[in-house]
Amino acid sequence: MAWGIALLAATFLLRVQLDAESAAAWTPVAAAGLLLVAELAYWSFELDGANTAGARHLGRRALEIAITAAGAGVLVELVLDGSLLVPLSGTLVLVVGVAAVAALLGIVVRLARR
Amino acid sequence: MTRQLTPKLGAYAALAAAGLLAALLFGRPEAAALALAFALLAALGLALAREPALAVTPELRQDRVLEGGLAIVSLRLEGLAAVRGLELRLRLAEGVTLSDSSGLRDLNLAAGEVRTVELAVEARRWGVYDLGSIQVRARDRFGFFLFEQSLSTTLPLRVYPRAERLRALLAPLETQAHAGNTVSRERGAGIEFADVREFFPGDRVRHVNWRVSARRGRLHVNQHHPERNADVVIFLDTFAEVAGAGATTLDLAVRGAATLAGQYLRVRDRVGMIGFGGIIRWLRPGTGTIQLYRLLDSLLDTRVVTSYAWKDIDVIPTGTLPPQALLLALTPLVDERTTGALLDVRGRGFDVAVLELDPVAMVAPRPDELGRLAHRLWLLQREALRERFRAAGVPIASWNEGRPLEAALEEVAASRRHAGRARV
Repeated sequence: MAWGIALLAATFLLRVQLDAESAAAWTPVAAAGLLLVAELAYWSFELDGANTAGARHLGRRALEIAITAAGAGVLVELVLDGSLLVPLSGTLVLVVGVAAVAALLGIVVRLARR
Repeated sequence: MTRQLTPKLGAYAALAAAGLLAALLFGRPEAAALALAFALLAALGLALAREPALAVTPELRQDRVLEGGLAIVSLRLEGLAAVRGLELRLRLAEGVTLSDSSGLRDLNLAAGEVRTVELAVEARRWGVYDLGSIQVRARDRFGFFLFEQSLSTTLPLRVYPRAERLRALLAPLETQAHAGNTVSRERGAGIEFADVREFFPGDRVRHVNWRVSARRGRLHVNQHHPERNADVVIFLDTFAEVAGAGATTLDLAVRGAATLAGQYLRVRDRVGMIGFGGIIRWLRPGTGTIQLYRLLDSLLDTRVVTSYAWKDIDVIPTGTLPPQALLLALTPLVDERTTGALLDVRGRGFDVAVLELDPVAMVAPRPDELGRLAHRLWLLQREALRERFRAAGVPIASWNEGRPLEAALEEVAASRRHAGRARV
Protein backbone atom coordinates (compact mmCIF):
# COMPACT_ATOMS: atom_id res chain seq x y z
CA MET A 1 0.00 0.00 0.00
CA ALA A 2 2.65 2.48 1.11
CA TRP A 3 4.72 1.81 -2.03
CA GLY A 4 1.73 2.54 -4.24
CA ILE A 5 1.06 5.85 -2.53
CA ALA A 6 4.76 6.74 -2.65
CA LEU A 7 4.86 6.05 -6.39
CA LEU A 8 1.78 8.22 -6.96
CA ALA A 9 3.39 11.02 -4.93
CA ALA A 10 6.67 10.63 -6.81
CA THR A 11 4.83 10.90 -10.14
CA PHE A 12 3.21 14.12 -9.03
CA LEU A 13 6.49 15.55 -7.73
CA LEU A 14 8.21 14.68 -10.98
CA ARG A 15 5.50 16.56 -12.80
CA VAL A 16 6.04 19.53 -10.46
CA GLN A 17 9.78 19.37 -11.10
CA LEU A 18 9.24 19.40 -14.86
CA ASP A 19 6.43 21.93 -15.01
CA ALA A 20 6.46 23.83 -11.72
CA GLU A 21 4.21 26.69 -12.90
CA SER A 22 1.04 24.76 -13.59
CA ALA A 23 1.48 21.58 -11.57
CA ALA A 24 2.34 23.21 -8.22
CA ALA A 25 -1.12 24.74 -8.03
CA TRP A 26 -2.59 21.23 -7.82
CA THR A 27 -0.56 20.31 -4.73
CA PRO A 28 -3.48 20.62 -2.22
CA VAL A 29 -5.67 18.49 -4.48
CA ALA A 30 -2.89 15.93 -4.84
CA ALA A 31 -2.35 15.83 -1.06
CA ALA A 32 -6.09 15.37 -0.43
CA GLY A 33 -6.30 12.74 -3.16
CA LEU A 34 -3.34 10.74 -1.85
CA LEU A 35 -4.72 10.81 1.67
CA LEU A 36 -8.15 9.78 0.40
CA VAL A 37 -6.68 6.85 -1.52
CA ALA A 38 -4.63 5.74 1.50
CA GLU A 39 -7.55 6.00 3.91
CA LEU A 40 -9.91 4.12 1.59
CA ALA A 41 -7.32 1.41 1.01
CA TYR A 42 -6.74 0.84 4.72
CA TRP A 43 -10.47 0.91 5.35
CA SER A 44 -10.86 -1.86 2.79
CA PHE A 45 -8.28 -3.90 4.74
CA GLU A 46 -10.25 -3.35 7.94
CA LEU A 47 -13.44 -4.49 6.24
CA ASP A 48 -11.80 -7.55 4.76
CA GLY A 49 -13.86 -10.58 5.77
CA ALA A 50 -16.73 -8.58 7.22
CA ASN A 51 -19.86 -9.88 5.59
CA THR A 52 -22.01 -7.07 6.84
CA ALA A 53 -21.37 -3.62 8.11
CA GLY A 54 -24.33 -1.40 8.79
CA ALA A 55 -25.13 1.08 6.02
CA ARG A 56 -25.32 3.85 8.60
CA HIS A 57 -21.87 3.02 9.90
CA LEU A 58 -20.41 2.80 6.39
CA GLY A 59 -21.87 6.18 5.43
CA ARG A 60 -20.55 7.80 8.57
CA ARG A 61 -17.08 6.40 8.08
CA ALA A 62 -17.05 7.46 4.40
CA LEU A 63 -18.05 10.98 5.44
CA GLU A 64 -15.26 11.08 8.04
CA ILE A 65 -12.69 10.05 5.45
CA ALA A 66 -13.95 12.60 2.95
CA ILE A 67 -13.80 15.37 5.58
CA THR A 68 -10.28 14.30 6.64
CA ALA A 69 -9.06 14.41 3.04
CA ALA A 70 -10.72 17.75 2.36
CA GLY A 71 -9.28 19.17 5.61
CA ALA A 72 -5.81 17.97 4.61
CA GLY A 73 -6.18 19.66 1.25
CA VAL A 74 -7.22 22.95 2.86
CA LEU A 75 -4.36 22.72 5.35
CA VAL A 76 -1.81 22.11 2.59
CA GLU A 77 -3.22 25.05 0.66
CA LEU A 78 -2.86 27.29 3.72
CA VAL A 79 0.67 26.09 4.42
CA LEU A 80 1.75 26.60 0.83
CA ASP A 81 0.18 30.04 0.72
CA GLY A 82 1.93 30.94 3.97
CA SER A 83 5.26 29.67 2.74
CA LEU A 84 4.91 31.69 -0.45
CA LEU A 85 4.02 34.86 1.43
CA VAL A 86 6.88 34.45 3.85
CA PRO A 87 9.67 32.86 1.85
CA LEU A 88 11.38 30.38 4.07
CA SER A 89 14.99 29.62 3.44
CA GLY A 90 18.29 29.51 5.17
CA THR A 91 20.09 27.35 7.69
CA LEU A 92 17.30 27.45 10.27
CA VAL A 93 14.74 25.99 7.84
CA LEU A 94 17.27 23.37 6.77
CA VAL A 95 17.97 22.39 10.38
CA VAL A 96 14.25 22.20 11.19
CA GLY A 97 13.63 20.10 8.07
CA VAL A 98 16.47 17.73 8.84
CA ALA A 99 15.27 17.38 12.44
CA ALA A 100 11.72 16.62 11.27
CA VAL A 101 12.95 14.00 8.82
CA ALA A 102 15.19 12.45 11.45
CA ALA A 103 12.36 12.35 13.95
CA LEU A 104 10.01 10.72 11.47
CA LEU A 105 12.62 8.22 10.36
CA GLY A 106 13.28 7.45 14.02
CA ILE A 107 9.57 6.70 14.49
CA VAL A 108 9.58 4.48 11.40
CA VAL A 109 12.66 2.57 12.59
CA ARG A 110 11.18 2.16 16.06
CA LEU A 111 7.90 0.92 14.63
CA ALA A 112 9.71 -1.48 12.36
CA ARG A 113 11.64 -2.94 15.30
CA ARG A 114 8.53 -3.65 17.40
CA MET B 1 -6.28 -5.16 26.83
CA THR B 2 -3.21 -5.51 24.67
CA ARG B 3 -2.31 -2.73 22.24
CA GLN B 4 -0.82 -3.30 18.83
CA LEU B 5 0.28 -0.86 16.17
CA THR B 6 -1.30 -1.40 12.80
CA PRO B 7 0.82 -1.25 9.61
CA LYS B 8 -1.05 1.93 8.73
CA LEU B 9 0.88 4.04 11.27
CA GLY B 10 4.23 2.83 9.97
CA ALA B 11 3.18 3.50 6.38
CA TYR B 12 1.99 7.04 7.15
CA ALA B 13 5.16 7.87 9.07
CA ALA B 14 7.32 6.46 6.28
CA LEU B 15 5.43 8.44 3.63
CA ALA B 16 5.78 11.62 5.66
CA ALA B 17 9.52 11.03 6.16
CA ALA B 18 10.01 10.31 2.46
CA GLY B 19 8.13 13.51 1.53
CA LEU B 20 10.19 15.67 3.84
CA LEU B 21 13.39 14.06 2.64
CA ALA B 22 12.40 14.75 -0.95
CA ALA B 23 11.62 18.37 -0.02
CA LEU B 24 15.09 18.77 1.47
CA LEU B 25 16.87 17.05 -1.39
CA PHE B 26 15.08 18.78 -4.26
CA GLY B 27 14.21 22.03 -2.51
CA ARG B 28 10.51 21.74 -3.36
CA PRO B 29 7.97 22.81 -0.71
CA GLU B 30 5.28 20.77 -2.54
CA ALA B 31 6.93 17.55 -1.36
CA ALA B 32 6.84 18.78 2.24
CA ALA B 33 3.20 19.78 1.75
CA LEU B 34 2.30 16.28 0.59
CA ALA B 35 4.16 14.83 3.58
CA LEU B 36 2.32 17.17 5.91
CA ALA B 37 -1.06 15.47 5.39
CA PHE B 38 0.27 12.05 6.42
CA ALA B 39 2.46 13.40 9.24
CA LEU B 40 -0.40 15.37 10.73
CA LEU B 41 -2.80 12.44 10.67
CA ALA B 42 -0.18 10.14 12.25
CA ALA B 43 0.52 12.72 14.96
CA LEU B 44 -3.22 13.14 15.65
CA GLY B 45 -3.65 9.38 15.85
CA LEU B 46 -0.82 9.03 18.36
CA ALA B 47 -2.09 11.90 20.45
CA LEU B 48 -5.76 10.92 20.52
CA ALA B 49 -5.48 7.13 20.89
CA ARG B 50 -7.35 5.94 23.97
CA GLU B 51 -7.70 2.40 25.18
CA PRO B 52 -11.33 1.29 24.93
CA ALA B 53 -12.90 0.14 28.16
CA LEU B 54 -15.57 -2.48 27.82
CA ALA B 55 -17.38 -5.01 29.98
CA VAL B 56 -18.66 -8.14 28.25
CA THR B 57 -21.04 -10.52 30.02
CA PRO B 58 -21.89 -13.66 28.06
CA GLU B 59 -24.93 -15.77 28.80
CA LEU B 60 -26.42 -18.88 27.22
CA ARG B 61 -30.19 -18.78 26.81
CA GLN B 62 -30.44 -22.58 26.89
CA ASP B 63 -27.73 -25.02 27.83
CA ARG B 64 -29.28 -28.08 26.11
CA VAL B 65 -30.09 -28.35 22.43
CA LEU B 66 -30.65 -31.09 19.91
CA GLU B 67 -28.11 -31.80 17.21
CA GLY B 68 -28.73 -29.34 14.36
CA GLY B 69 -30.51 -26.91 16.68
CA LEU B 70 -29.62 -23.35 17.60
CA ALA B 71 -28.46 -22.07 20.96
CA ILE B 72 -28.67 -18.35 21.58
CA VAL B 73 -25.66 -16.67 23.16
CA SER B 74 -26.43 -13.31 24.62
CA LEU B 75 -23.54 -10.85 25.00
CA ARG B 76 -24.17 -7.86 27.22
CA LEU B 77 -21.77 -5.09 26.22
CA GLU B 78 -21.24 -2.11 28.45
CA GLY B 79 -19.07 0.69 27.16
CA LEU B 80 -17.12 2.04 30.14
CA ALA B 81 -15.55 4.49 27.68
CA ALA B 82 -16.39 5.14 24.04
CA VAL B 83 -15.52 2.18 21.81
CA ARG B 84 -15.24 2.37 18.03
CA GLY B 85 -15.13 -0.38 15.44
CA LEU B 86 -15.69 -3.08 18.02
CA GLU B 87 -15.34 -6.61 16.76
CA LEU B 88 -16.29 -9.67 18.78
CA ARG B 89 -15.09 -13.12 17.85
CA LEU B 90 -16.36 -16.25 19.52
CA ARG B 91 -13.72 -18.96 19.51
CA LEU B 92 -16.03 -21.93 19.35
CA ALA B 93 -15.19 -25.55 19.82
CA GLU B 94 -15.28 -27.88 16.84
CA GLY B 95 -18.83 -29.07 16.39
CA VAL B 96 -20.54 -25.75 17.04
CA THR B 97 -20.50 -22.83 14.63
CA LEU B 98 -21.94 -19.36 14.45
CA SER B 99 -24.96 -19.39 12.18
CA ASP B 100 -24.83 -15.63 11.61
CA SER B 101 -21.98 -13.29 12.46
CA SER B 102 -23.63 -10.04 11.44
CA GLY B 103 -23.78 -8.78 14.98
CA LEU B 104 -20.06 -9.20 15.55
CA ARG B 105 -18.51 -6.49 13.42
CA ASP B 106 -18.37 -2.72 13.41
CA LEU B 107 -20.08 -2.01 16.68
CA ASN B 108 -19.79 1.43 18.16
CA LEU B 109 -20.53 2.06 21.80
CA ALA B 110 -20.77 5.40 23.56
CA ALA B 111 -19.47 5.76 27.11
CA GLY B 112 -22.00 4.26 29.50
CA GLU B 113 -24.05 2.68 26.72
CA VAL B 114 -25.30 -0.85 27.29
CA ARG B 115 -26.15 -3.07 24.36
CA THR B 116 -27.07 -6.72 24.10
CA VAL B 117 -25.97 -8.71 21.08
CA GLU B 118 -27.54 -12.08 20.45
CA LEU B 119 -25.71 -14.69 18.45
CA ALA B 120 -27.14 -17.94 17.21
CA VAL B 121 -24.77 -20.87 17.64
CA GLU B 122 -25.56 -23.90 15.54
CA ALA B 123 -24.84 -27.25 17.17
CA ARG B 124 -23.62 -29.46 14.33
CA ARG B 125 -22.54 -32.52 16.25
CA TRP B 126 -23.62 -34.14 19.49
CA GLY B 127 -21.37 -33.71 22.51
CA VAL B 128 -20.61 -31.48 25.44
CA TYR B 129 -19.02 -28.19 24.48
CA ASP B 130 -17.58 -25.26 26.27
CA LEU B 131 -18.25 -22.21 24.19
CA GLY B 132 -14.65 -21.18 24.61
CA SER B 133 -13.40 -17.64 24.68
CA ILE B 134 -14.54 -14.32 23.33
CA GLN B 135 -11.96 -12.21 21.56
CA VAL B 136 -12.70 -8.51 21.72
CA ARG B 137 -10.99 -6.27 19.18
CA ALA B 138 -11.32 -2.53 18.76
CA ARG B 139 -9.50 0.13 16.78
CA ASP B 140 -8.77 3.72 17.59
CA ARG B 141 -10.41 6.53 15.64
CA PHE B 142 -7.70 6.66 12.95
CA GLY B 143 -7.03 2.95 12.73
CA PHE B 144 -3.43 3.21 13.95
CA PHE B 145 -3.89 0.97 16.98
CA LEU B 146 -5.55 -2.36 17.48
CA PHE B 147 -6.71 -3.23 21.00
CA GLU B 148 -7.33 -6.87 21.79
CA GLN B 149 -8.61 -8.78 24.77
CA SER B 150 -9.49 -12.43 25.19
CA LEU B 151 -12.22 -13.27 27.69
CA SER B 152 -12.51 -16.88 28.72
CA THR B 153 -15.99 -18.11 29.40
CA THR B 154 -17.44 -21.17 31.05
CA LEU B 155 -20.64 -21.72 29.17
CA PRO B 156 -21.24 -25.45 28.84
CA LEU B 157 -23.57 -26.52 26.08
CA ARG B 158 -24.93 -30.04 25.87
CA VAL B 159 -25.89 -31.12 22.38
CA TYR B 160 -28.07 -34.20 22.37
CA PRO B 161 -27.99 -36.51 19.36
CA ARG B 162 -30.68 -36.16 16.76
CA ALA B 163 -33.34 -38.87 16.97
CA GLU B 164 -34.07 -41.11 14.00
CA ARG B 165 -37.64 -41.77 12.91
CA LEU B 166 -38.80 -45.02 14.40
CA ARG B 167 -42.34 -46.35 14.53
CA ALA B 168 -41.74 -50.01 15.38
CA LEU B 169 -39.23 -51.48 17.77
CA LEU B 170 -37.54 -54.83 17.83
CA ALA B 171 -39.56 -56.86 20.34
CA PRO B 172 -37.42 -58.76 22.86
CA LEU B 173 -37.89 -62.53 22.82
CA GLU B 174 -38.26 -62.68 26.59
CA THR B 175 -40.07 -60.34 28.93
CA GLN B 176 -39.76 -59.51 32.60
CA ALA B 177 -42.27 -59.77 35.42
CA HIS B 178 -43.54 -56.20 35.45
CA ALA B 179 -46.40 -54.84 33.40
CA GLY B 180 -45.48 -53.16 30.17
CA ASN B 181 -46.37 -52.86 26.51
CA THR B 182 -44.62 -55.94 25.12
CA VAL B 183 -46.78 -58.97 24.46
CA SER B 184 -45.12 -61.78 26.39
CA ARG B 185 -44.58 -65.28 25.09
CA GLU B 186 -45.84 -66.49 28.46
CA ARG B 187 -49.48 -67.19 29.17
CA GLY B 188 -51.46 -65.33 31.76
CA ALA B 189 -53.82 -62.43 32.21
CA GLY B 190 -53.80 -60.29 29.12
CA ILE B 191 -55.66 -59.24 26.01
CA GLU B 192 -53.82 -61.03 23.22
CA PHE B 193 -55.32 -64.47 22.55
CA ALA B 194 -52.82 -67.32 22.97
CA ASP B 195 -54.47 -70.75 23.11
CA VAL B 196 -57.38 -72.88 24.36
CA ARG B 197 -56.96 -75.49 27.06
CA GLU B 198 -59.14 -77.65 29.26
CA PHE B 199 -60.84 -76.07 32.25
CA PHE B 200 -59.22 -76.64 35.63
CA PRO B 201 -60.78 -75.84 38.99
CA GLY B 202 -59.90 -72.28 39.86
CA ASP B 203 -60.19 -70.94 36.30
CA ARG B 204 -62.45 -67.95 35.96
CA VAL B 205 -65.81 -68.52 34.30
CA ARG B 206 -65.37 -65.46 32.09
CA HIS B 207 -62.46 -67.20 30.37
CA VAL B 208 -64.57 -70.22 29.33
CA ASN B 209 -64.70 -70.61 25.55
CA TRP B 210 -68.30 -71.75 25.15
CA ARG B 211 -68.05 -72.69 21.47
CA VAL B 212 -65.08 -74.99 21.92
CA SER B 213 -66.61 -76.39 25.14
CA ALA B 214 -69.89 -77.21 23.30
CA ARG B 215 -68.01 -78.85 20.42
CA ARG B 216 -65.73 -80.94 22.65
CA GLY B 217 -68.30 -81.71 25.31
CA ARG B 218 -65.95 -80.53 28.07
CA LEU B 219 -65.24 -77.10 29.45
CA HIS B 220 -62.37 -75.23 27.78
CA VAL B 221 -60.93 -71.86 28.63
CA ASN B 222 -59.08 -69.23 26.58
CA GLN B 223 -55.50 -68.41 27.41
CA HIS B 224 -53.90 -65.02 26.79
CA HIS B 225 -50.47 -63.47 26.45
CA PRO B 226 -49.83 -60.93 29.20
CA GLU B 227 -48.31 -57.51 28.41
CA ARG B 228 -45.05 -57.21 30.22
CA ASN B 229 -42.06 -54.99 30.15
CA ALA B 230 -38.65 -56.06 28.89
CA ASP B 231 -35.04 -55.35 29.65
CA VAL B 232 -33.08 -53.91 26.76
CA VAL B 233 -29.35 -53.33 26.98
CA ILE B 234 -27.82 -51.20 24.26
CA PHE B 235 -24.30 -52.33 23.48
CA LEU B 236 -22.10 -49.62 22.01
CA ASP B 237 -18.86 -50.65 20.37
CA THR B 238 -16.31 -47.94 21.14
CA PHE B 239 -13.14 -49.80 20.27
CA ALA B 240 -12.85 -48.16 16.88
CA GLU B 241 -14.75 -45.94 14.50
CA VAL B 242 -14.67 -45.45 10.77
CA ALA B 243 -14.89 -41.90 9.51
CA GLY B 244 -16.28 -40.94 6.13
CA ALA B 245 -16.79 -37.59 4.47
CA GLY B 246 -19.76 -36.83 6.69
CA ALA B 247 -20.58 -38.70 9.86
CA THR B 248 -18.54 -41.40 11.54
CA THR B 249 -19.76 -44.80 12.66
CA LEU B 250 -19.62 -43.48 16.23
CA ASP B 251 -22.05 -40.70 15.28
CA LEU B 252 -24.40 -43.31 13.86
CA ALA B 253 -24.01 -45.44 16.97
CA VAL B 254 -24.78 -42.56 19.32
CA ARG B 255 -27.79 -41.44 17.28
CA GLY B 256 -29.09 -44.97 17.06
CA ALA B 257 -28.57 -45.61 20.77
CA ALA B 258 -30.33 -42.36 21.73
CA THR B 259 -33.27 -43.17 19.45
CA LEU B 260 -33.62 -46.75 20.67
CA ALA B 261 -33.27 -45.75 24.33
CA GLY B 262 -35.98 -43.10 23.98
CA GLN B 263 -38.37 -45.41 22.17
CA TYR B 264 -37.92 -48.40 24.50
CA LEU B 265 -38.32 -46.19 27.56
CA ARG B 266 -41.48 -44.74 26.04
CA VAL B 267 -43.06 -48.21 26.06
CA ARG B 268 -42.05 -48.70 29.71
CA ASP B 269 -39.18 -51.11 29.11
CA ARG B 270 -36.08 -50.94 31.26
CA VAL B 271 -33.09 -49.76 29.27
CA GLY B 272 -29.41 -50.03 30.14
CA MET B 273 -26.23 -49.40 28.24
CA ILE B 274 -22.79 -50.90 27.87
CA GLY B 275 -19.99 -48.93 26.24
CA PHE B 276 -17.55 -51.61 25.22
CA GLY B 277 -14.21 -50.24 24.15
CA GLY B 278 -10.91 -48.90 25.43
CA ILE B 279 -12.86 -47.70 28.45
CA ILE B 280 -15.71 -49.93 29.60
CA ARG B 281 -18.73 -47.91 30.65
CA TRP B 282 -22.09 -49.19 31.77
CA LEU B 283 -25.44 -48.10 33.05
CA ARG B 284 -27.74 -50.59 34.74
CA PRO B 285 -31.22 -50.95 33.23
CA GLY B 286 -33.80 -48.53 34.52
CA THR B 287 -36.93 -46.85 33.39
CA GLY B 288 -38.44 -43.39 33.22
CA THR B 289 -37.35 -39.94 32.14
CA ILE B 290 -34.49 -39.80 34.62
CA GLN B 291 -33.03 -42.96 33.09
CA LEU B 292 -33.41 -41.43 29.61
CA TYR B 293 -31.33 -38.41 30.63
CA ARG B 294 -28.80 -40.65 32.36
CA LEU B 295 -28.43 -42.58 29.14
CA LEU B 296 -28.23 -39.45 26.98
CA ASP B 297 -25.66 -37.83 29.25
CA SER B 298 -23.66 -41.02 29.20
CA LEU B 299 -23.85 -41.09 25.40
CA LEU B 300 -22.53 -37.53 25.19
CA ASP B 301 -19.35 -38.65 26.92
CA THR B 302 -18.84 -41.54 24.52
CA ARG B 303 -15.40 -41.52 22.94
CA VAL B 304 -13.29 -43.98 21.05
CA VAL B 305 -10.29 -44.73 23.24
CA THR B 306 -7.54 -46.79 21.66
CA SER B 307 -6.63 -49.86 23.64
CA TYR B 308 -4.67 -52.99 22.79
CA ALA B 309 -5.74 -54.90 25.90
CA TRP B 310 -7.86 -57.96 25.23
CA LYS B 311 -11.28 -57.55 26.78
CA ASP B 312 -14.17 -59.94 26.89
CA ILE B 313 -17.66 -59.88 28.31
CA ASP B 314 -16.43 -60.88 31.79
CA VAL B 315 -15.29 -57.31 32.44
CA ILE B 316 -18.91 -56.17 32.47
CA PRO B 317 -20.30 -56.05 36.02
CA THR B 318 -23.03 -58.46 37.07
CA GLY B 319 -26.42 -56.84 36.97
CA THR B 320 -25.67 -54.72 33.95
CA LEU B 321 -26.89 -57.53 31.73
CA PRO B 322 -29.96 -59.00 33.49
CA PRO B 323 -31.27 -62.45 32.57
CA GLN B 324 -33.65 -62.52 29.60
CA ALA B 325 -32.51 -59.09 28.46
CA LEU B 326 -32.29 -58.17 24.81
CA LEU B 327 -28.78 -57.06 23.94
CA LEU B 328 -28.96 -54.71 20.99
CA ALA B 329 -25.46 -54.11 19.68
CA LEU B 330 -24.43 -51.13 17.55
CA THR B 331 -21.06 -51.87 16.06
CA PRO B 332 -19.06 -51.28 12.89
CA LEU B 333 -17.64 -54.80 13.30
CA VAL B 334 -14.05 -53.76 12.82
CA ASP B 335 -12.66 -55.06 16.10
CA GLU B 336 -12.35 -58.76 16.87
CA ARG B 337 -12.87 -58.13 20.60
CA THR B 338 -16.42 -56.91 20.01
CA THR B 339 -17.24 -59.87 17.80
CA GLY B 340 -15.89 -62.25 20.43
CA ALA B 341 -17.80 -60.56 23.25
CA LEU B 342 -21.11 -60.60 21.36
CA LEU B 343 -20.80 -64.24 20.40
CA ASP B 344 -19.86 -65.02 23.99
CA VAL B 345 -23.02 -63.29 25.26
CA ARG B 346 -25.06 -65.20 22.71
CA GLY B 347 -23.40 -68.42 23.84
CA ARG B 348 -24.62 -67.69 27.37
CA GLY B 349 -28.19 -67.75 26.10
CA PHE B 350 -28.90 -64.05 25.86
CA ASP B 351 -31.10 -62.61 23.16
CA VAL B 352 -28.65 -60.69 20.95
CA ALA B 353 -29.32 -58.60 17.85
CA VAL B 354 -26.66 -56.70 15.92
CA LEU B 355 -27.06 -53.47 14.01
CA GLU B 356 -23.94 -53.25 11.88
CA LEU B 357 -22.90 -49.62 11.39
CA ASP B 358 -21.90 -50.10 7.79
CA PRO B 359 -18.41 -48.67 7.21
CA VAL B 360 -18.21 -49.85 3.59
CA ALA B 361 -19.62 -46.63 2.13
CA MET B 362 -17.09 -44.62 4.17
CA VAL B 363 -14.05 -46.48 2.87
CA ALA B 364 -13.06 -45.96 -0.76
CA PRO B 365 -10.81 -48.63 -2.32
CA ARG B 366 -7.40 -47.55 -3.55
CA PRO B 367 -7.59 -46.93 -7.30
CA ASP B 368 -4.93 -49.49 -8.26
CA GLU B 369 -5.50 -53.19 -8.87
CA LEU B 370 -4.03 -54.22 -5.51
CA GLY B 371 -6.25 -51.76 -3.67
CA ARG B 372 -9.37 -53.05 -5.40
CA LEU B 373 -8.38 -56.62 -4.57
CA ALA B 374 -7.78 -55.74 -0.91
CA HIS B 375 -11.17 -54.02 -0.79
CA ARG B 376 -12.90 -57.08 -2.22
CA LEU B 377 -11.16 -59.32 0.30
CA TRP B 378 -12.25 -57.00 3.11
CA LEU B 379 -15.86 -57.14 1.89
CA LEU B 380 -15.69 -60.94 1.79
CA GLN B 381 -14.27 -61.01 5.31
CA ARG B 382 -17.13 -58.86 6.50
CA GLU B 383 -19.65 -61.14 4.84
CA ALA B 384 -18.02 -64.14 6.52
CA LEU B 385 -18.26 -62.33 9.86
CA ARG B 386 -21.97 -61.74 9.31
CA GLU B 387 -22.39 -65.42 8.56
CA ARG B 388 -20.70 -66.25 11.87
CA PHE B 389 -23.34 -64.22 13.67
CA ARG B 390 -26.20 -65.73 11.69
CA ALA B 391 -24.88 -69.23 12.37
CA ALA B 392 -24.88 -68.41 16.08
CA GLY B 393 -28.52 -67.32 15.86
CA VAL B 394 -27.78 -63.62 16.06
CA PRO B 395 -29.82 -61.57 13.59
CA ILE B 396 -27.73 -58.89 11.94
CA ALA B 397 -28.63 -55.98 9.69
CA SER B 398 -26.62 -53.15 8.19
CA TRP B 399 -27.42 -49.57 8.92
CA ASN B 400 -25.85 -46.53 7.30
CA GLU B 401 -26.65 -42.88 6.82
CA GLY B 402 -28.61 -43.50 3.65
CA ARG B 403 -30.84 -46.14 5.24
CA PRO B 404 -33.52 -45.54 7.89
CA LEU B 405 -32.96 -47.20 11.25
CA GLU B 406 -36.47 -48.54 11.01
CA ALA B 407 -35.55 -50.55 7.90
CA ALA B 408 -32.56 -52.10 9.63
CA LEU B 409 -34.65 -53.05 12.67
CA GLU B 410 -37.31 -54.52 10.42
CA GLU B 411 -34.63 -56.61 8.72
CA VAL B 412 -33.53 -57.91 12.12
CA ALA B 413 -37.13 -58.71 13.08
CA ALA B 414 -37.76 -60.45 9.74
CA SER B 415 -34.57 -62.49 10.18
CA ARG B 416 -35.86 -63.61 13.60
CA ARG B 417 -39.27 -64.55 12.21
CA HIS B 418 -37.77 -66.70 9.49
CA ALA B 419 -34.95 -68.29 11.43
CA GLY B 420 -36.72 -68.80 14.72
CA ARG B 421 -34.54 -68.99 17.76
CA ALA B 422 -31.36 -70.91 17.21
CA ARG B 423 -30.14 -73.13 19.98
CA VAL B 424 -26.48 -72.78 20.76
